[in-house]
Formats: sequence, structure tokens, C-alpha cells
Amino acid sequence: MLFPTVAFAIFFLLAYVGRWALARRPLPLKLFLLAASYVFYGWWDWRFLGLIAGSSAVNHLLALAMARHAHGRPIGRLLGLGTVVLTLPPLTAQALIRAGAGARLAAGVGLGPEIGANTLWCAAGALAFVLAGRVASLFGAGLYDAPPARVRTGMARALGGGAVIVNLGFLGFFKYYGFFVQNAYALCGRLGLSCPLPLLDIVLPVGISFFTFQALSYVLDVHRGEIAPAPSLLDFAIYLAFFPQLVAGPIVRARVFLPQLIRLPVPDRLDVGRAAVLIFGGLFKKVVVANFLAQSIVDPVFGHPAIYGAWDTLFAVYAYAVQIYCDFSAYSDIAIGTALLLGFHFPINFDAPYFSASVQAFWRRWHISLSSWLRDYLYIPLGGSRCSPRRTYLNLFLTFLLGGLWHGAGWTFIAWGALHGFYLCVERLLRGGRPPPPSSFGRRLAGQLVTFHLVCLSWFFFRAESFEDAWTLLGNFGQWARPECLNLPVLAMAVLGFASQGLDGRRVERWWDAFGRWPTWAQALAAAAALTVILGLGPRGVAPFIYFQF
Amino acid sequence: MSPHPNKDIEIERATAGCGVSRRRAHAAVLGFYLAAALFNGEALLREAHLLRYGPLRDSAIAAARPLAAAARMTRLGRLRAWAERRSPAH
Repeated sequence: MLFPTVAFAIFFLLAYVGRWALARRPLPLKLFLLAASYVFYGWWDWRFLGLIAGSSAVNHLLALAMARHAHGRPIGRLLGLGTVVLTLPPLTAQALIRAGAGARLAAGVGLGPEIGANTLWCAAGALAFVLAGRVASLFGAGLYDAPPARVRTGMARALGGGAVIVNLGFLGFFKYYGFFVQNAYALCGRLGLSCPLPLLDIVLPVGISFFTFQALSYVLDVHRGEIAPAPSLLDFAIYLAFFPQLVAGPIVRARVFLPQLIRLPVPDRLDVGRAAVLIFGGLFKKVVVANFLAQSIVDPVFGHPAIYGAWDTLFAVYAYAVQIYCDFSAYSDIAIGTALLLGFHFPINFDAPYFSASVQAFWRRWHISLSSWLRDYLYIPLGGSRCSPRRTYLNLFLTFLLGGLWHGAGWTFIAWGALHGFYLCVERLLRGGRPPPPSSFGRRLAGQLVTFHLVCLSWFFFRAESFEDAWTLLGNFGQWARPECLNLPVLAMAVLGFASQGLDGRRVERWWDAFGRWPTWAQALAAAAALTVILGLGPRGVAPFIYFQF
Repeated sequence: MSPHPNKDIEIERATAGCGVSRRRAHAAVLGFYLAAALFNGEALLREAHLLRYGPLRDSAIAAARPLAAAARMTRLGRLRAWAERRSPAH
């Protein structure tokens, strides 16, 4: 379900009414929020509901085991029972599917429609989820109210390591298996060997990178003793699947969202002004700016790089820089705005990134939830900057290399991450570990220009279909022919998209408050008129958000 | 990589009591849906006709028809038509 569609509009109205109708009944409200989130996710492909439900059950049981171990309680029965309830229903479903398929083949009627197997798998997933919830409630009593504790024993490390392996295993299989096998085949082919790995056609579940990182942050925070495990599987399942940010972020930490879910406060006031500016600003950025730039210049030039010259290539990469900002920040803004209308607060994810005067500042303002995740769960555990200078550079480079790989299973994404890692290492080297000096307007402007162009250079690799395409695009700078794709609407839209960074952070706080003071009828009418103009100005059809593929 | 200063805008604003009462917010949201349906009634009917033949299309058309009629009667549908005429994408 995409945000700017009629289906989502109807869905959100139902979710909004349900949320506030059940506001004072916590259990029905939580069940409703989980059901709504699963409907939202299942809209793409309901078969992946088993994946997200399974991920919730496994991570919650592991977090409980860690917390029980930290408080000196036995965990053997929890792990044993947990393993049984998580594996028995799926194994039974698999056996039934095989038996059914065997019987149908024996009767000579073929394997029949997929629906039978899918239904069985889904039922098995639901049963495993419910049983895991029961096991969790048996073994989790009192753990949420107890102060979080950390114990450094072999078992604690094994549980933490197990949680990381399970989550990265999910992600690795669905997202990177194909990439790994393709490269293994290519390598074996060069060496004259045969590759024993099977080629599987795996569909990438939408949003898997986002909810896996949320799950990882939860289990690692419980492992470190920074938070207590969620009081019930239901709370954790909502945290993992909450529909506004499920598919493309922001990556919300458990320590931010779980307390809100557990208390479920009924706020007296709703920040309608801020929510409206976020939602309609986001819709404008996505529907009008990002979609138009994609259709008019970015897709043609990046799709056929060999037939364009330097001007078209230059403006296509500028347009792509604006497009990806407008596309991705739009999703985050709409997610934050819709969550706000439902009474939940999420941290911001973008803060005018292209106004940054250094690459380091850029990463403090671009996809903040990912960069802070990488800092807390990768860069600092690797040693961060508290080790030798050489090791610090290596940590920085590795963090961004893996950040690039997180974006997509492809060498171009790895190159993009490596380029950013390289930029940050060079910046650190030039600064010599000192804080940046106070800069004049001219110096800051120069820094912004250089940073923007360095980021644009990296976007060539991020957007190009292959390395060949990226090199062709860079090679176009040798031919300064007359531009073909550049025209006034493209230029105006790119400038408008760039200027839309002014909506980030607190820059338009006055607008939020001013809109909040309008009469109710004027708010409704203005919002509806804004939506109508946005939908009218945008191209026909709805393009998916770029970050859905990650 | 230090914590971002603007990260907790919403928490700060919620603590400061920014926003409108819940009842007013509900009225604004429901009013928005009503007005949006009237502004876009004709476009909704047009899009419903583009759906694949089947029960979903039939119910979408049945639901959009009165909205389109209301949009025509109130002339609110003109805003969408005006925006579409000025769209650089069309």
C-alpha cells in the first residue's frame, strides 16, 4: 500500500477512527494496531506476514532469555519450549504440504494451486506466533518492571550472538543470497570450478532491511542492559510492524517507541499543524517533485547513459540528488506525520542535508536514524575513534562500506558506501582530529558546494544500473554538447525540491503553530485543497518510493 | 557523529502542549476527508473506471459516482481540473 493512493487514504481513516475509538482500552487497541499494521504489510504480499511474525517471535524470545539470564533466572525451559513452538507448526505445515503434493501427484492431478501451501504456511506462522506469545508471557513475568541488567558471561554472549546471527540470517538469505551466488558462480567460472550452490529466485520482502535493523537494535539494547525486554510479544510485534514507518523508515529505536506503546497515553492535544505540514509537504515532494524529475530527466539519462552529453549528465545527477532527497525524506515525513496523528512521536530523519558544509555534517543530517544506528551498533562496537588512528580510519571506512551494502545487494552500492567512507577518512585526516574551526560565510558556502558535489559524485554509483553505466556517465563529461533533457520546468522543479529542505527540522515551526490556530473548517478545507493541487500537479500513476527496494 | 539537536522536536512540543484539542483534531481530519472527496470526486470516478473489470471496480464506481455528482454540483471539482491543466507532467 503506497501512501499517495486511495487505498491508503481509506486504510488510514479506518486506522485513525479505530485508534481513537479504542484509546482507553489498551488490549483491544494493541490488537487493532497490530492487525492494521499486518493488513498494511500484507497488502504487498500476505505470504511475508509469516516472516515478520516469525522475526517478532524469535527476537522477543531471545530478548527474554537474555533478560532472564541477566537476572539470574534459569533459561533452559524457555529456550527449549521456544524452539519447539517456533519450529513445530512450520515443520507440520511443510509435512502436510509434501503429503498433499505427493497424494495429488499419485492421483495424476498435478500439484494444484499455490494457495493451499501458502495458507498452511500462514496458519503455521500464526500458530507459532500465538504459542510464542504464550511462552513469552509464562517466562517474562516481572522482567519489564525489573531494572535492566547486563551480565557478561558465555551464555549472555551466546544469546547476543545468536540474536545477531538470526537477524542477519533472515536479511542475508532474502536480500543477499542471489548476489552472493551470482558472484560465487562468476568466481568459480573464472577458476574453472563448478559452483555447488543452487540458484534460487527469491523475492525481496518489502522493508526487510528496516524491520531487521529495528529488531537488531532491540535485542542488542536488551543484551547491553540498556532497556528491559518488552512486557509482551504483542508490544514487541507492534513495535516491529507499526505501519507508518514499517516499509521505509525511519528506523525507530525500541527505547523511543516501546515506552509510548506500553503507556499508550491518551494525549489531550494533537499537533495537527506539524502533522499537516509534514504530510502535505511530503506528498508535494514525492508526487510533484520526485516523480516529475524521475520521468523528465533522471530515468532517461541514467537509463541510456551513452546517448547523452555532459550537460544532460550533470543536470541529471543534480536532479537525482534532489529526487532521492524528496522521495526518501517524503516517506519519512509522511510516516512521522501519520504517527503523530495517531498519538505517537518519532524522531526526525532528515535535516536539510544538502546545506551541510562537510561530509561528516551531511551524515548527521541525512537518514539520521540509519547513520545513528550504524554509529551505535557498528562503528562504536568496532572501537570507534577510541583506538589507534589507523584503526579509527578502518572502522570509519568499514562502517560506511557495510552501510552501502545495507542499501542494496550490488557492487555499485558497495562503491557508494566506500566512497563516503573514503570522504570521511580524508576529512578526518585533513582536520587532524581537531574540531572544525568557526567558518565565515564564504568558507561555509564553499564547503557546502564541495560537499554537495562530492555527494553527487557518489550518487552516480548509487543510481547507475552497473559499473559500466556509471563509468559511461562519468565519461560523458568529455563531450559538452547542447542539453536535450534540460528545460525550464525541470530546472524550476529541481530548485523547488532543493528549497524544500527549508521544511526540515524546526525551520517552519511558525507554520505549524499558525496552521494549528486556524479554525477547524479552514484547516480541513486548506488541507483538502493542498492534497487536490498536489495530486493534480503530479504525473498520472504512482511510482513506488525509491527506498522500498532497500 | 554526535546526537542530533533537532531529534526530539516532537517530544519537546508535546511536553510544551503544542497543537489543538483532540476533539478539534478529529473534526479537522474528518472534515478533510469530506472536502478531499468533494474536490476529487470526478477524478476518483475517472480512476475507478480504469480499474480491472471485477467486483472491486464495480464497487469503486458505485462509491465514486455520488461523489463525482456532488463535486460537479458544488463545482469543487474545478480545483483538480485547474491543477491538472497546469501540471508540467501532463
